[in-house]
Amino acid sequence: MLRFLAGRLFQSVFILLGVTIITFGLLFLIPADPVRMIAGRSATPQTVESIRRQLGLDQPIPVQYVRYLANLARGDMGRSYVQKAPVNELIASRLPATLQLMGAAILIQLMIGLPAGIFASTRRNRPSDKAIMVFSFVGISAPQFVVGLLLIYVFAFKFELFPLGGYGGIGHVILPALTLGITVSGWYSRMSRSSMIEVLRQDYIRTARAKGVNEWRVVLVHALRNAILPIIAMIGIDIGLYAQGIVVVEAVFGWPGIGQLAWLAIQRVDIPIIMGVTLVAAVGIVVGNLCADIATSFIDPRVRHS
Amino acid sequence: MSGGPVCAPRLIVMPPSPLLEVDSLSVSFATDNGRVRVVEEVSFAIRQGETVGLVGESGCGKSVAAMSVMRLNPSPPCYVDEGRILFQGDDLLTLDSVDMRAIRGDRIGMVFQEPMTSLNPTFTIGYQIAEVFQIHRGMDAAETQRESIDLLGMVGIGAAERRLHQYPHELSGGLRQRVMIAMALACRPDLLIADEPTTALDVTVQQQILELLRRLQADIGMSVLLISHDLGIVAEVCERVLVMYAGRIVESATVDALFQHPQHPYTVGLLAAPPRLGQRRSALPTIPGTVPPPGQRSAGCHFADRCARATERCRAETPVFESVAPGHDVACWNPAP
Repeated sequence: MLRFLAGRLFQSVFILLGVTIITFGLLFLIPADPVRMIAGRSATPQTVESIRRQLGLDQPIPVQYVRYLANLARGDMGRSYVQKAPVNELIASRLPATLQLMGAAILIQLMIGLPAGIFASTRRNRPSDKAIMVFSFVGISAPQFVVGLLLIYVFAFKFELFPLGGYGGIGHVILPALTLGITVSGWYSRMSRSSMIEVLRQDYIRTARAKGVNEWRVVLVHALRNAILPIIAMIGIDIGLYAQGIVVVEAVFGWPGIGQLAWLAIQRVDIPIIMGVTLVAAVGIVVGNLCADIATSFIDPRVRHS
Repeated sequence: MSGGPVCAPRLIVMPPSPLLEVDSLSVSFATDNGRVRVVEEVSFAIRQGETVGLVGESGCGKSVAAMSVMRLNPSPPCYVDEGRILFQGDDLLTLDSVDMRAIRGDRIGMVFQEPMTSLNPTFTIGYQIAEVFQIHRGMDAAETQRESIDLLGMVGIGAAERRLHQYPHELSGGLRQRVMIAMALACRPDLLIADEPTTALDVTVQQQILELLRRLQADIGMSVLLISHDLGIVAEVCERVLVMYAGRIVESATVDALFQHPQHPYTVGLLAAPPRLGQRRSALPTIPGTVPPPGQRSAGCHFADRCARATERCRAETPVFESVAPGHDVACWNPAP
């Protein structure tokens, strides 16, 4: 098990390296010039050149990349062109808000998706199953900004149960987390339903029933413990999927997280921030997968012993 | 002296009512093309302590019939259309789910064909055995542990304490089947239903498992319903055999009577089919034709199309299950001489 984890960590170094190369390459392929964005329309060629030299953007791309990596190795992600502050600080100040939102969203998505999927699997092809599947499809298809605005209208504007937006206590996180959680829970209810149906037709479920185990225990203990494995793996992968949703939802709710930071940086071609946010997201996915692997090995002895 | 007095002591030993009595059980599956009947008016009885074999080709309905006793057929798509299953006086088909669960694993134990997939891969052997004791006996952890170790010893698993902490994937197929048998026998059931318990195992392991079943049957004194497609295995373990063909029981007899005087042409064909060592034959004997699939079974005797002895009556009328000798019944209009 430890060897497996060490192997995974070793792998992830290369994954992250790959992410830096691709992101770096792509940023220099786009036609927008960050220097002109900073200097403004009326700047003289001399000013533009001096800014370019100052930022080190006059160097060949491979040199810039190696320089970036060298800084990164020391834990320095560079300085924002626009905000004139270290990227480390900018991300560190916004990461807690995003993590809080994501944590709450994952919790909601599982609290809706898992029970719905499990229930549907035990009522397969009956009206309640079909109703749940229709709802989950609506959840999957609904655009997040629409769901977000709808929730704001009903729960913040009409009934004034929650604040309209911004950052603060528990009350502030509920609506944005619901927006993310509801839309993603559709996937999870479908996945847990199909995973449960697959497990419920296994021989060992029949064995459990033959022992006299009651139906609740058959479903929630004997079946769920096996059916949850692909779902855990999916949560690990989904942290990447959240990267898109977070940008939209943070914009709709004025949530001061990484998504907003990234959105502003992309508009202004603020390369160090874009690089930094991409890297943090990549680290998030790697860590998420690692956590999923560890959780899986706790549940499935076959993984633990291999 | 006539033959009467010789038979009399056996009649006295027989208890008045059987342990399990299946009475004209019919089971069907819902398919896209409507209901398809897979078990047709099957009746049989098992006495206390008796071992009965249920033999037939795959797809003949023997597993569905046996699983109906435990009410473990998935529904939908499987429905019992009619019949009664009397077990110790209760009609199992009319019990509510709580009463039925109290019987499963306690008074009726079941062992399945696939030991590799019949144990839950994410729980230890100990947990899966302990569950039976907790459900039916309400035992605490220490008692459960003690009983589980005894139980594994009983089915011939050494180093029982260590085994309890192992997971199914750490055990061989033979060991897993022993664990399955242990779980089925944990509460010393009155009836054990073993559905092809040795089919998935190596030949040497098969013999060990059969030996174990025979020994445990004698020790516990339970009744056994052994389902198999292999007459040889049934002959080794059972006293009486039920032969099933295309959803119906066509012959019922003691093992000796069946092997010496098979009456139904299908049974005759089955007995001729297995090749024997030292016998050189140009072709393996087979029964011509194939089993008619459920839903395409004609009126009359389902075996008529493959039967050399079939008459007009066989194709028109369903044969009546009749006694040809004491304890030997057959459903055939024109039985073998």
